[in-house]
Amino acid sequence: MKNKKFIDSNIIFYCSGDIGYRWAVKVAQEVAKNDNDTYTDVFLFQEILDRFYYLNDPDKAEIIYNAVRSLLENTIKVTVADFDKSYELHQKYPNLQPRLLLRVGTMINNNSKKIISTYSADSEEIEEISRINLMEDIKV
Amino acid sequence: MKKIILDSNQPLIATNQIGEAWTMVILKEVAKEKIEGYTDIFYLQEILDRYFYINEIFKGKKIFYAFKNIVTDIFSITPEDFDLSYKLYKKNKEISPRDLIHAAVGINNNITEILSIDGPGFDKLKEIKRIKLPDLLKSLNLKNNYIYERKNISRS
Repeated sequence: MKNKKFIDSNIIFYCSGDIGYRWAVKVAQEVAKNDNDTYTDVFLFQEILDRFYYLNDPDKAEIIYNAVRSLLENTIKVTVADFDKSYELHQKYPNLQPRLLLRVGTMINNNSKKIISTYSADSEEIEEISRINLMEDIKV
Repeated sequence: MKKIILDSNQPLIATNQIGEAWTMVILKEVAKEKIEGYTDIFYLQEILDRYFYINEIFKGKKIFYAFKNIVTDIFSITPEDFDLSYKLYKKNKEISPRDLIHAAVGINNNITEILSIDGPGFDKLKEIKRIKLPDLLKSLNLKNNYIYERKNISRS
């Protein structure tokens, strides 16, 4: 993978809403076309199951889980080294959520800087990664 | 040697006022390498998350570092762990997916006992056994010296 891009769970949740935002579905379609470039970590799948468990909708959890699993073949593990990196980042960004920093730690350890995600003020603060512009780069 | 998974609630209890002594005994045994106590990345994450959201991250860091240094090893979470947790989820939809991923990590690392106070989830799983703290202390013939010492201090 030359230009590895990390896909964030918020894109999946926008796709899977009751309305199913068109732009998010378009992003998912682009990801499917360029499957080799896009990856995620096991946390994304945990977030899917967690979310639908607390919404008491296990059937939807299965549908979304299976769809995403087939869409993304490149799923990486989260290691102790990733955790240590996130802890390092925490010294630099003490006000950012540890969960977000773990994701960034995983990305850095996998030599990846680009993330496919919606705007979040917290993520924008992090110098080590850059968000792909969905309007310009994916043309949603 | 006995091998167990340590739930993140163990270091949290150990640092609280109530029940700290019971858990400290076990954590000390792990530190002395008399029990093999393992944990996983998600448990460590839970410690930091908890203290971040109650705005006490510095306390969280202390607990996190102490726990990280005490445990025998920390397991990564792999896609294989997740696949197993998903299989367990399909059979046990009433159990929290968070409990299932911890169980899956234990099973994939050949550890089937977990020390936790979260009964409702783990107790329903056939594949893993939750150990209650008093039972573990009893099975290891451990006397809670810490409580004994404190009682003696208060009496004197």
